[in-house]
Amino acid sequence: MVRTALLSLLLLAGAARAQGWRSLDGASCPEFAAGRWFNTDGTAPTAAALKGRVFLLTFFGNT
Amino acid sequence: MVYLTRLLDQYGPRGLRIVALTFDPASQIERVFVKELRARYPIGCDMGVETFVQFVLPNEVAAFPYSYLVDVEGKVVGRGEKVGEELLAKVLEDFFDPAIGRELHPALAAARASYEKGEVGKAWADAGKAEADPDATVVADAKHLRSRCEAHAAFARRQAEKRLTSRDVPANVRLLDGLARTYAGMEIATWAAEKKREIQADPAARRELSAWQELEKIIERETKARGDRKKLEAVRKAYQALIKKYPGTVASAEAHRRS
Repeated sequence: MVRTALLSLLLLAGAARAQGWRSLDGASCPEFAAGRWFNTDGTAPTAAALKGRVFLLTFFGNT
Repeated sequence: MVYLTRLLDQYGPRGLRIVALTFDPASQIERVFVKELRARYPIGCDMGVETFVQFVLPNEVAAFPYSYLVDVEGKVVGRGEKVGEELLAKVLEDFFDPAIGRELHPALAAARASYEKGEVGKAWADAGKAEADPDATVVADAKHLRSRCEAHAAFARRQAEKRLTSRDVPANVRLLDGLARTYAGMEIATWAAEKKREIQADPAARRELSAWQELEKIIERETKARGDRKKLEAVRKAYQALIKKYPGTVASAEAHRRS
């Protein structure tokens, strides 16, 4: 319920502001984790392990 | 998110990786994205939005999909909200800067492929050999490609010179190693090797590198210890030990932030 409320807040508020691409100043990428991973070779991807690679991290959700 | 697979097909050979995180249930991810859409990039189930809230600032809101572009140094260099395939492709195109600007003679196909894969030094060397070709068209195209490689290297060097003012010694070393690999055989690779030697000759920089090596091991332990309170406590102690061992370093500041 908390999750649904948080997502609703983010989505509703987000819809009202300008969207698009913004260049950033290059702060370190925070570490990321998931309860379960798909399409991996058994090793969860991490920001630390991806150092040395260019990567796109995308969040999406239909809920 | 079929377009992510298309972007991976297009930019994967140039070095791009894609990681997706979704708030959808694991069963839906498996059924829709893995089985039906055959996504080929890792997809994580972040139903509790624990990771997402780390990326969004407290006073910030987001519209999905929400994407971050992270460079080889692990720095977030851009982000997009509700960004579709067309704009993301443009962002990536600009980032990888592959434009050659004109068609090249088929004799330069291998050099062109190297350039597009990001092996600029190899492309430059191959184009150099093609400059001896008896066909004037091949020679003109080879000179054009070499000039593109040299422009690419000049841009990379300007960027690197700005980055090297940072105290993040391991990132600087990785950057220089990357330049030496990408532009092997070119002047910038020699410059990068020389800069790296200068860094390694500095005792303070060596100490920073040692601190970072230890820090990276602790971060790896922390990633594996998620959800295990006992192990996380051991990780916290390891951070504190590192802070005491390497006071005043960037690594100790990072350890302090993480602990």
